[in-house]
Amino acid sequence: MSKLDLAEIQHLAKLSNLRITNEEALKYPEQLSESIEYVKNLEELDISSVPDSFFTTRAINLMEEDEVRTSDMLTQEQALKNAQSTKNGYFIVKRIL
Amino acid sequence: MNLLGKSLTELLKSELHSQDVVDYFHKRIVKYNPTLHAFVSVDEQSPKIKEDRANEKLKGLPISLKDNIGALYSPTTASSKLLETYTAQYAATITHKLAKDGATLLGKTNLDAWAHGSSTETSDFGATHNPYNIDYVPGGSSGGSAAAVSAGLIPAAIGTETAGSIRLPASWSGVVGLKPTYGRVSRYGIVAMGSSWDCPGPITQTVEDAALLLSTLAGKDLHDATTIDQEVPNYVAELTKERKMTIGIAQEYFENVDPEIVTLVQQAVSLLQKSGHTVKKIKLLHPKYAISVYMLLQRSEVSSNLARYDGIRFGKNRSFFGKEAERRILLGTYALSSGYYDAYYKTAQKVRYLIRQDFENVFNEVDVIFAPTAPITATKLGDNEKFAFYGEMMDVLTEPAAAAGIPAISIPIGMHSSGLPVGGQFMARHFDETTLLQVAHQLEQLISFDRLSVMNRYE
Amino acid sequence: MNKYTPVIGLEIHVQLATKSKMFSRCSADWFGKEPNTVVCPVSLGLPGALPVPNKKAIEWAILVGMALQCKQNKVSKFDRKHYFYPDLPKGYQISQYDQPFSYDGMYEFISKKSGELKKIRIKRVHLEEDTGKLIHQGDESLVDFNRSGMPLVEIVTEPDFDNSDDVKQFLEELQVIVRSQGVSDADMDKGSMRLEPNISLRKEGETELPNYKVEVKNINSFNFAKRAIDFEVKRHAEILDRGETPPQETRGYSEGNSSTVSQRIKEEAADYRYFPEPDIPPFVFDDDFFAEIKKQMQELPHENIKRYESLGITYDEAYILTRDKKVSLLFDKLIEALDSDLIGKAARLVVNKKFALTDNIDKAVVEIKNLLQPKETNEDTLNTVIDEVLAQNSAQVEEFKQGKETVLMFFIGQVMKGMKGQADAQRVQEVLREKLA
Repeated sequence: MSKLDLAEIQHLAKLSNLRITNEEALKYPEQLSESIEYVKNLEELDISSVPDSFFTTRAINLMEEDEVRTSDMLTQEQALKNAQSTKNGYFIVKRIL
Repeated sequence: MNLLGKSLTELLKSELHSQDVVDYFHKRIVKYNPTLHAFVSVDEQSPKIKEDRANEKLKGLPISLKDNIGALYSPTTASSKLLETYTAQYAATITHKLAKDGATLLGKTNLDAWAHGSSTETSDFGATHNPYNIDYVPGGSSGGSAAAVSAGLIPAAIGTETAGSIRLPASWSGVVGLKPTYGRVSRYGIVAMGSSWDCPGPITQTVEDAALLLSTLAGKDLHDATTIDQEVPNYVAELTKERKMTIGIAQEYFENVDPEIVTLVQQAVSLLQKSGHTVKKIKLLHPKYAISVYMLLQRSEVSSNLARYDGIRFGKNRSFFGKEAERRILLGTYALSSGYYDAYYKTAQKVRYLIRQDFENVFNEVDVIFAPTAPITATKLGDNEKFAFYGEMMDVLTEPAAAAGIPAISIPIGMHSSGLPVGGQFMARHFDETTLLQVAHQLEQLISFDRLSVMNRYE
Repeated sequence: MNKYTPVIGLEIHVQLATKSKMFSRCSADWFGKEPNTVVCPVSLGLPGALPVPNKKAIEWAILVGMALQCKQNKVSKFDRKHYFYPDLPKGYQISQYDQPFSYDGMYEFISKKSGELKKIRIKRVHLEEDTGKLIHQGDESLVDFNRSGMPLVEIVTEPDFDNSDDVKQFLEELQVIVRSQGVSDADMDKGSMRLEPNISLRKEGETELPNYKVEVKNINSFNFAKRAIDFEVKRHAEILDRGETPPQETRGYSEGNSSTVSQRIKEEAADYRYFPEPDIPPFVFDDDFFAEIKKQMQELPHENIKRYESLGITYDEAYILTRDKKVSLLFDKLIEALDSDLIGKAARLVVNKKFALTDNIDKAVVEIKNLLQPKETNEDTLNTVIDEVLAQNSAQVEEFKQGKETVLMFFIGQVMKGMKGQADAQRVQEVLREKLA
């Protein structure tokens, strides 16, 4: 677990679709490295016999019957309501290359 | 008319006209919100109670929602500049349930932006002030809800907790805050923060009100696959059952806690013992591990849950995220990135399993656990910058229960010499809110905390 | 010039024909609808929206895995796959990573090209959600989320193909399988079946996998798939001949000149930051659950073929009859109504389009019996007509005598014409042969 450097931060920013200014990028490595240091305390615990576990409840097999629930659907007007840019029923985005 | 200090239950029992009640609180909000800034939005005119609501359980009485909870066509900003212009296109399940039970939704309360915080100072729209001392914070992230109830601007409110966000502000603002079992209350329509942690819950003046609102909020929801199909008990009816319990006290939860707080907790324990409960010393995993678990898992989930905010369908683009949100996203992305997943994410999940197991084992010996809610009382506005891990430090005692998904409640247990309130918390087994509410109600009666004085300052 | 062997693997997506979407009960009837009219909070990835899995979609995904002889994971789950693109509303796709519903399957078929038995290993069959659609217009892109959230079954094969004809055949047969189960219309035109081959070459005789591969997107038909692969094989060979390695990249198929064009160089494997989907509890299935799904399985094409063969139908004819479930179902009804000794012949008639098979089975039976009945042939007329035909086509008579058997068909045709169809083809042939001897 190495200390995070500027390049790493920029890489993470790219992965997360964030644009980090150089000014911000200066502070982040230290702040994030502090957090990484703190969580090292997890190494103190013996997790060798702990099964893979990823869920907070013990629920399993949650599936719903394949029926349409029209009350959940939105009209085109409702769907577009909060968008900054729309045209002819579409959301608009600057051309993706 | 003076309704200060009247709980929701009392208002329901009274002969008052609900519209008068709504108007009364609307007026108070308009008058005192500039001072306290508990609300980020409220209708200009006092809302008219819908005809059909007046005959339902909550009779049209007013409730406020934290602004990360979606209400149809109402601004739902999560106190973030990015969502400043967003009005929800659909109602959250709990909003719908409250409306169905007759509540009138009055105003949206302030929070730390995206619920990332423990003081409500990091709201993009300005901090909320603690009614006990406006130079201090009310706690967070549900600080707006807690301050509103504390100052008597609303009889009861709904907040959300990921790890401490209901209990901490409740304890710092001198009110009751209940975090239900994860899976007890639907998250549908609530701006997601930590998917496997988030619990909506009531912030109220009394435990009885918390029980009342929980019975409206609780239940399996078709729209939320993580809600559990477990029968919802009649919490209010069960509340007053004279049950004596075994209460566990763990030394680990008293380390580095302000001595006055420790004294108040011990006094509360004493009262409980005298009234017939058994107190037992127990051992629990040190809360510090829950901090690490929370930091890694919550950041991971946050980095994922905030990926949808690209400004195309709603809101503004990602440059409108504040620093705290950006930091959390970066750390979360790191914990999940290839090469680091096993060391961080997976390890944290395994420790989480241990924490849950630890509680489940302890509940074989005791019915509830009692502890301080926070290590210190409310901090001064701006002091959060002084702590390296401010939020984590303030939430250290609330994080374990959140990690395990068990229910917990904070109630006021006394006043600190600084003039700020102190909270004590109970924790119980999964889906045993009944026990939680019963013992909290009993302690509440024994302590008889004065909730009216602070409200009178805003009169 | 070195000789190379193509190494081809396929990634196929099949959109399921459920009534509602994969993670919400929004209508799934999206094709051809006005933009953003078949949507819900979940399809749009609105704040607070949560996924609830579609039971039928899961059953059908497992069914497809079973049809491809896969093993089923008793414990499985959904995972989040992160990347940013305007048509992916949540910034992640709910898919399956390390615990897919099905894995380790196999598909066998007799290659039409080589006649060999081909075995294609199926790496995995999993379930995920579809994205919205992006339309480019000038310097803007228009986004429509009607398709967002539709259930997609992803089938991944090992790189076991070594030629484009086999790939095409596999795709056609896979389409038939999927359609036979009624789980999808698997239509390349509608996009309910999509495909991305990955292609590389290795030196003939080598067994190790090449150290590169090229993925090709934007292929809208099985024919284009073949052309794309053929183009790539040629392109790679030229590069390899120069002593270089083709860059690992994604290319797009260009219909205009049946070629592929570079889209982006893959610098590194994308970091999708997979983690288990916290909003959906995991699945723990037991044998009863799988047995119930198995019961839902319709007869598979290869089983259907075997059954027809046992009834006296040839492999080739059985193959054709089983390409469309509608046809084979009708044919099954016919089988019930016919005497067993007529089945094989009836199959031939259907396959040779000598009569059209419809719902009206009784009518069909009559028609068949009629067609199969030896026709009353007027021997005198027959002899006259045959003599005329042979007289008028002396060149072809020569050809036949020289050994060109196929000319016989020509004569039969001419005779039948002259007889106005009123002759038994068998008898015509007999007499012709006599006269030509």
